Amino acid sequence: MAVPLREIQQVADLTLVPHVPVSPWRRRAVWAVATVVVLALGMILFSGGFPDSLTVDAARPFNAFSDWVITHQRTTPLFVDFLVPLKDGINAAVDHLVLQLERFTWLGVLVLAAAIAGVLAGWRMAVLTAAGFLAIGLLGLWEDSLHTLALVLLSVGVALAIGLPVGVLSARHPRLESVLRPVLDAMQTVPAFAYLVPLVLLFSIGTTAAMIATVIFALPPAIRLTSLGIRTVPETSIEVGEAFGSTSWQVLRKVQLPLAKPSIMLGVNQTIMMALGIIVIAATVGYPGLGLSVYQALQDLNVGAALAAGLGIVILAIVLDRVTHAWSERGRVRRGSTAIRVFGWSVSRRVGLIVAVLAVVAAIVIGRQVLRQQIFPTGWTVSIAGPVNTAVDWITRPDEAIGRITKHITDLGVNYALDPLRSLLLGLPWWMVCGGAAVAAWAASRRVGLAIASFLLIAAIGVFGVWDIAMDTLSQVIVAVILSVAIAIPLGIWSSQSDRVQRVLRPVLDVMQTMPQFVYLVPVIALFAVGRVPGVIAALVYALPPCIRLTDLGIRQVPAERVEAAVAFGATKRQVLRKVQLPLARPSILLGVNQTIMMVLSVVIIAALIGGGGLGLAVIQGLNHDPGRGMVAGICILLLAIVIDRITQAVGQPTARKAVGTEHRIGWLFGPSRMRGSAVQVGVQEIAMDPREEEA
Amino acid sequence: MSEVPQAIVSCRNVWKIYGPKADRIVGTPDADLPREELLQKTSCVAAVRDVSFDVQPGEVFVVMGLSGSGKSTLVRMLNRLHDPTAGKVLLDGDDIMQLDDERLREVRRRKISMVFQHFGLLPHRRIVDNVAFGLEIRGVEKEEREAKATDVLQVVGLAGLGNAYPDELSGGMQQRVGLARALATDPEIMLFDEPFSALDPLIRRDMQDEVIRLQRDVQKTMIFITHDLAEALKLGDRIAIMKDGRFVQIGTPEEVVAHPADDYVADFTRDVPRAHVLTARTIMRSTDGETDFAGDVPADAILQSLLPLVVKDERPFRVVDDGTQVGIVDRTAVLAAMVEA
Repeated sequence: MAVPLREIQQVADLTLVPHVPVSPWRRRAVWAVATVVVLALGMILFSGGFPDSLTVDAARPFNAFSDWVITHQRTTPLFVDFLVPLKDGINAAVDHLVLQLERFTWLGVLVLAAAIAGVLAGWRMAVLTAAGFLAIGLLGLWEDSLHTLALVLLSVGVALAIGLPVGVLSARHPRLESVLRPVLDAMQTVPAFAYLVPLVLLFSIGTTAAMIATVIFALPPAIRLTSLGIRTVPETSIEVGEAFGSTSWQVLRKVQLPLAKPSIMLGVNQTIMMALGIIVIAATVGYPGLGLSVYQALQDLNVGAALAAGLGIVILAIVLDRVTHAWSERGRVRRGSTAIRVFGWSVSRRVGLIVAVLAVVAAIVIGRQVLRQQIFPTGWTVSIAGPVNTAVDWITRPDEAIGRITKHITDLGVNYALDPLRSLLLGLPWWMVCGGAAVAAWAASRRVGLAIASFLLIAAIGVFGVWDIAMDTLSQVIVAVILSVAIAIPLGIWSSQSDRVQRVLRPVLDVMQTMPQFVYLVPVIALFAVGRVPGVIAALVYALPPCIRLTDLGIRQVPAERVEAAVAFGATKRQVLRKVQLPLARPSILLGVNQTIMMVLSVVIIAALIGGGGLGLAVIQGLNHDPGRGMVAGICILLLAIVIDRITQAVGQPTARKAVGTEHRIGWLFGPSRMRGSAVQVGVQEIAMDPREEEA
Repeated sequence: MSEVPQAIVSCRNVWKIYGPKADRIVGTPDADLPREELLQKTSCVAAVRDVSFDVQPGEVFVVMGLSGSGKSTLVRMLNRLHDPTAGKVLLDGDDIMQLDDERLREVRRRKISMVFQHFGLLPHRRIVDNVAFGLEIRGVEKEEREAKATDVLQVVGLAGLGNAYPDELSGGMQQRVGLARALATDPEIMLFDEPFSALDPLIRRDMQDEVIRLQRDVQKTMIFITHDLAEALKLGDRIAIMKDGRFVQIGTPEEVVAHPADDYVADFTRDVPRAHVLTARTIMRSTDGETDFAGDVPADAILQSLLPLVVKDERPFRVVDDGTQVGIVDRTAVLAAMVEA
């Protein structure tokens, strides 16, 4: 209905303004010189850093609160009647589940997992699951894995129990949706580290804080993808339901939920992967399991042990990912009989189920009565930590070739990138850094509000007294982002031009996106020891996949007829790329860059575990003994994340955001190849459809 | 139009306006503004404006208009998928705006069903489950509704395809499923929202024939939306031509072709093969006292069938209806009616 107005607007825009040609390079050169001059003047004329006189002791109220909690938690009703019972309940539930799994014995658990995978996703997945669990046992990670699995299962259960209904409600009530959207945005923007400290303040170190953090982290995709699935059910399908007299419940059950199923299943998959993804972060608040093994091994610089535990997490991730994915695919293929085919034998679903149950019962009985082994027998395990450590020692010896190279890279990174940048950020007066953020925000969005907000939020970091470490973090983020984008975009372009490259890259990227972020920390400390450089390298590698994929996708999605038109006028392949494909792919590529930045930030923060310093280190210290400072650092991570996210999202036309909206970010983070035919397609439809498609 | 008591569907001055404070526009002078001006002035869009009509039981009433004329909105107000902004919609004389949710659902479940433009089949259900959808919603037991669905599939010529899924069927077959689904609840009234516009011309013709056959067999009241005049003329007992939310003419196919109400309708009907639509009754005149007749022709004979007669004989023919003479036609009248545009 607004169309005519818009047309009039467009006509108005066309009123001829005399066009003065300015070479873009000349303009850019002027800008560059001006920037350098301003920075130099700033360095020379003003003292750098954030003046102490403007800071407040933000940590004190939090420390006071922490003390208050410690002294009052036995008397205050909020604690006595709610938080403490909640905590006890969660602790008991997790402990009980671990105990139960132990009682099943290792054989029982292995067969149970395989049986569930088999019934849900087919015998191939049963074999994969059994192999995965066996490998975990052989690596000597059985007990750790039970703890990890228990936390993941319960967290995912809670996240889905909250996320699915909330997703349905928000799809049906646009007002709830508009309230939830910024909340979910924030939840997905903020690195999980940032909200650990408040949880620890309330629940102290332990299972409860770990589980709530996991639920918070895993919740957004469950809500978003459920809501997306329901909202993108075609209007006609809903009209069909209504026209035949359905109640609103019938429309939901018989039309919306079935049609939204692929998207909802993807949400389940994502929820599980997210939960598994922060298992090491759960370890920093003291939850045992694979995560804690990695955490402690990283602290002890025991690369071998970290690698072994990390491998266990990767195995769990791959098993859970593939099984849930195969399960959702299977839901989509509903043709033919419900029979399960095993080695050419066709078994009916019911027989399969009975066999599975019998196998589980038999395994538990054998495990308990015959083997009498609750935990995977230690005699069978193979320790890879020792050999790995030997190899790492050899690699990192500075007189060996590899050691020399990595040492060289580390020095280069510190001396020519990280240190100069940090010195620059700290050498500039604070208002110039904040002003830089404001200018960037304004240039990206042309919105004064965003510019002012950016200035104030960055300045707040200084006011809270963590300016120096925040600038340290920022310098690491900037270096990692520049390198990551410089690698990812050319790779993405290459992949878009060659099907063979894409075929090779796809499985690699799939695996990379299945692995939790901290897993990237392990190999880099093997090669680069500890410090800022390995953190930056882990961050830049972790952030590669979405940017590669979105560049590739953006170019490949350019309509064929536009490319044809250029070719018909005699454009070379290079000209087609530069003048047609890249400009049209810009929104998608910019989204990729946004993804890169957010992912880099999250890894740079946790790289504090391997000596990255910065805000992340303050959080870790806060968890251990200085809650006030940890809380402040967490808040500043949040501020930094929000400012960076808003600015990078605003880059490009406003339509860029709509083209591949926030909803799909979740998907892109975790492998768009898997979203074929489901949310992406739906999302594309959503873009194509005018939300108000009335006759007008 | 005069009040006809036995009308099964009636619209009385129905309006549908989208936009802020849409309900305050009807009855003010703004309501008569052309659409563009109304939009400029109030940012409201008038989709349907002051539409009134009656449909008799067993009648096929076609609403014809170009896209944006408001016809799809109109048909959705008949089962209240959209609520009218003003005016009344009466089913069997009862105002459907007065129905509570429960009774409205009951009407939709039993009395009125709908066939959709893009078929609107549910991809996750087998064909038989799609056809049985209305019965399932109504709470009919599985066995009974599947039996009924199987019967109806037979009627629309899809016997044996019940276990297939929608995406395994061609467009024409999918719309037969849509038709079967609407028939399965055994409604009195069937609404068709441009059901065949997405189909190839040949398939479309088959489907139109199917509807004509069905109408002969089951005698439903049908309200049929189309943008295709040929389809309207072929199916409709009466046709309403809709433009910018208003009815510009209601009449039988013949009336519309022979006496277009305005230039807009005339423009539409210009290319209609008049010889196939117009009848002796439309072009006859009263006798001027002639006594020398070439013979008798029935009043509903189309011009096509009169042509060879008037070519052979210059004398006028008597037009006879029920054995009595109602007028005369001659060569001049036939030729004049055919070239008139």
